[in-house]
Amino acid sequence: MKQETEIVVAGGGITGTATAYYLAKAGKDVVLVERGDLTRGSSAANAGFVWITYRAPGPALRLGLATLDSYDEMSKNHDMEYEKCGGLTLFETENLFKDMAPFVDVRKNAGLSGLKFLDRNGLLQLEPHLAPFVLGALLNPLDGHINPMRAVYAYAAEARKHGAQLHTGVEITGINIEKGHVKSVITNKGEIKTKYIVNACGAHAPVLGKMVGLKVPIGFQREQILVSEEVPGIVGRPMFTASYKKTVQQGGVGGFTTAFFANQTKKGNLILGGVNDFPGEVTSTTFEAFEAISREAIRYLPILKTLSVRAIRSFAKFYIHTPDALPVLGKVKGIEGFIMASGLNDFGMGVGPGAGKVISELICLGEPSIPLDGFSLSRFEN
Amino acid sequence: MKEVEIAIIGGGPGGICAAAEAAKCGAHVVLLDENPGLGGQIYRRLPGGFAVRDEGRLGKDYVEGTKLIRELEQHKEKVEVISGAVVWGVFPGNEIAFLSGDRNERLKANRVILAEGAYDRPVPFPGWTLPGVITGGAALRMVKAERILPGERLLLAGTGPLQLALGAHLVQAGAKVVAILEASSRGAFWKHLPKLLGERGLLKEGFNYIRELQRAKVPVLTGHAVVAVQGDGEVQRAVYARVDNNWKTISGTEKTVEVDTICSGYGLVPSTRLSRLFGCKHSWDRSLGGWVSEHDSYAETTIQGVFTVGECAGVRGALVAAEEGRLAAIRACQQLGRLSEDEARRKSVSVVKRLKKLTGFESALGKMFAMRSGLFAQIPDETVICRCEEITAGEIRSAIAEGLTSIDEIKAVTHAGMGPCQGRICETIVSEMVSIQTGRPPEEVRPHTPRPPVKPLVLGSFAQE
Amino acid sequence: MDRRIQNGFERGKSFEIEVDGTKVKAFEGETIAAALLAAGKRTTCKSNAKKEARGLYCGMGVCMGCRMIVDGKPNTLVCQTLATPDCKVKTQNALENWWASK
Repeated sequence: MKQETEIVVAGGGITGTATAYYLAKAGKDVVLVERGDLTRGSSAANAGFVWITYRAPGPALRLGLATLDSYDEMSKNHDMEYEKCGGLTLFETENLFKDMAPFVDVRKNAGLSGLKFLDRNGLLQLEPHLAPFVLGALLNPLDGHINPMRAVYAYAAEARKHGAQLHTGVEITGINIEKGHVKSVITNKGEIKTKYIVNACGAHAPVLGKMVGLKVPIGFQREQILVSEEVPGIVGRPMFTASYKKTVQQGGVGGFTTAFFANQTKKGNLILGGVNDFPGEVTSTTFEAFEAISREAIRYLPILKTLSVRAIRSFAKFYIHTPDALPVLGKVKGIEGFIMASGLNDFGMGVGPGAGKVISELICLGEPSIPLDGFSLSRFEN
Repeated sequence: MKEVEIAIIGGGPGGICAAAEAAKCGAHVVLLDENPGLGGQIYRRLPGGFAVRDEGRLGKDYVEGTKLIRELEQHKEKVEVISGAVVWGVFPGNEIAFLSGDRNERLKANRVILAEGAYDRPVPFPGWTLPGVITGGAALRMVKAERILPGERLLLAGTGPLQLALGAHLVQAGAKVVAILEASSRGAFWKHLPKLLGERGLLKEGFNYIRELQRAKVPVLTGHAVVAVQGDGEVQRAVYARVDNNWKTISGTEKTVEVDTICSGYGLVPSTRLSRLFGCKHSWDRSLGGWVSEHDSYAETTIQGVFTVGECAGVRGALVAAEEGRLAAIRACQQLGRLSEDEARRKSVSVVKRLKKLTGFESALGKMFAMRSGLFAQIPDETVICRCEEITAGEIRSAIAEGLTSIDEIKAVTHAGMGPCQGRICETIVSEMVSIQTGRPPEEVRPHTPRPPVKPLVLGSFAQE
Repeated sequence: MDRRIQNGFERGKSFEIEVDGTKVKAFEGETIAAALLAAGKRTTCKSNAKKEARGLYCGMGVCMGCRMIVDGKPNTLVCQTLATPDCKVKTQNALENWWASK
């Protein structure tokens, strides 16, 4: 491992590897360190949705759109199983068509011109297996899905190709600051002198923050997900119940909440969710979640019962959430060279590479192409 | 949720003896077994509906199995046997979730004895996915329990004395066994064989096997292994060759033989999915079959109240499994207050003595027939390694070349191990491949971290509200 | 063809099962895999990705290889499933012939 570099990226998830890739591509001297293996945190336990419908118009949505561009570019050389197949928000009540209209209007004007309401017949043409109580949907043709692990490894491979060094099994134990400037990071494998450190540690961002006296208000939300064996085409594109966000946010009270979503990978595995709760930093899966997800999946897709479809995997993904549900990106007041790139909330795979790109611009050009003011850590002061 | 004192998972010799012993000590036991009837793989019963005229003709294992099952039947009122129960998950508080048919059930156990058993070590070669290539275990099950010949012209390839037993059973039943390929060298095999059989109490039966094979003129070719299997959609012929001390093919010695079935019997891999789910600490020992749960002299794992007995705790044979099952049951009953310390000690003395004798011997056996890496080093790039996801050796090698060295990482990138068998088949192979390519010893190749469901879970198995 | 071994025991009741439209003999207590093997049928399915023939391998419910569509249920492991009178068994063609199965 090098003893001196210009930039240390901490964290081997989607944000970290993408940041390292864009920095290396711009000719910077980069070392990425990851305490475990690449893609072991939220990027591993991840349903792989590339979902931008819910991003607020403005910088958040622009980060999402930049991410799609990044995936398109990366897909030229890497099979990340990325498909821009569209995504559906499912409506179970008539009211939702009316209630969602303003939401759709503002987004149509901000880059999501393809957003479209589907009635039951229109929906059935796309998704013939949905139960009759699903009355319609909102379709965003730009949403899609990706294999998160393959994506991380693709960015990692490209970063290496451009000269970045990536080290796994390296844990940062301290950060030296002199006169308000980052000087070096201390790891279990030795010290690395550096001008910048990018905190892309996801769930562990607060640990790194604490080393330099910063409080990073990141909390854990657990979402449990089941994966089925390979089955013929049952679900054509990612789909969420419209009540997903609302349901999930109530999750802290009295146990857990269940909100349906489904997707099918290229190979044919169904990804079924989800049960949410706030147990702290726990990644185990529970019997109750298996039960709830299975029931809900069969309620929405009765064919799963007919074909006796079986789950072969489960995982619990972290949502790393912040109080205002927005990421923490950019410079930090008072510590020159310490850059935040964490707290993606439910943005996840729909924002990681976009965030990596703007962080790289911030370091290389001093000015990112998408303003990051709204994502600064200082917004949580007070 | 139903609560029991002791849950035993697995209905082979270890599980049966654990259940019988626990019941003798007064404990209430539930025994969960995947198969339709007790016995496990080694003591598998004839199908229900078959009537046995002369048990002796079914072999020593069959008689031994009957004896143990009868012992258990004497304790019916204390032991609930649930056959066809597929355990798919364990959750905090010793909650065990299982499928019974298409229905989901759950129980909570004060103590858990894992007798998960073992399965045939998968060894890939070109053509190993063709119908007609079966494991030695599958062949034994067909010929001994289902009483069906798996093929007409068979080639046995692998290592260890079990191959002789299989060959003899096949010949007796009228099949043509073209040859038995034993990868170990000639000296090691024939020199130690009588002793091994003798210590197992199988000397007489063992010599009968050899006589049977000689009478049928079945050649036992030591220092040979199968190189490839060919056929149009099904097995039609096999290529075999001499191997060196590391079991690598000596090129130029290949021979082709017309066969319809290959029985691949390279020993066993301990089943440790459940002990890993419980979070027990595991360590690697080639002579025990690979990764096994660490345990104390009473078979208790590093997780208190969770025991591991028999093949899943290290491949050492049915007799060890039976004794270990008893020992674990005695300890569990003592912990539950069913036995005083004195009673427990008294009860375990003779078991420990028998166990000591057996394990010393079985571990020598394990060392002699332990796998050599040559077989894995020579797998061609285009051969499928992960049978579920159809990932080839070449794909796995490129992942390793890119710097991925743990089973979980390789799985994440290549999909190897992501299918319905959940890595049971390819994990040991990938681990050997990593070891060969990186020069790390196998114990440094981090194994897969399982999560429930460890067996496919029918979504419709939960009662709809 | 019948590869059943006859000695030391008597089989129970015999009946027929339907395999890809053809009648195959089975005995009470036999697995579907055993009945198929006795009749010389070895291919149970085509693999999902490469569409290659597969059949019995481990014989104990571990490898998940001997998948067939049994009474409309795809991915049924025939080595772990008992034959029942008149059960309908179909060779599973990767993910392709699931729908017509009911």
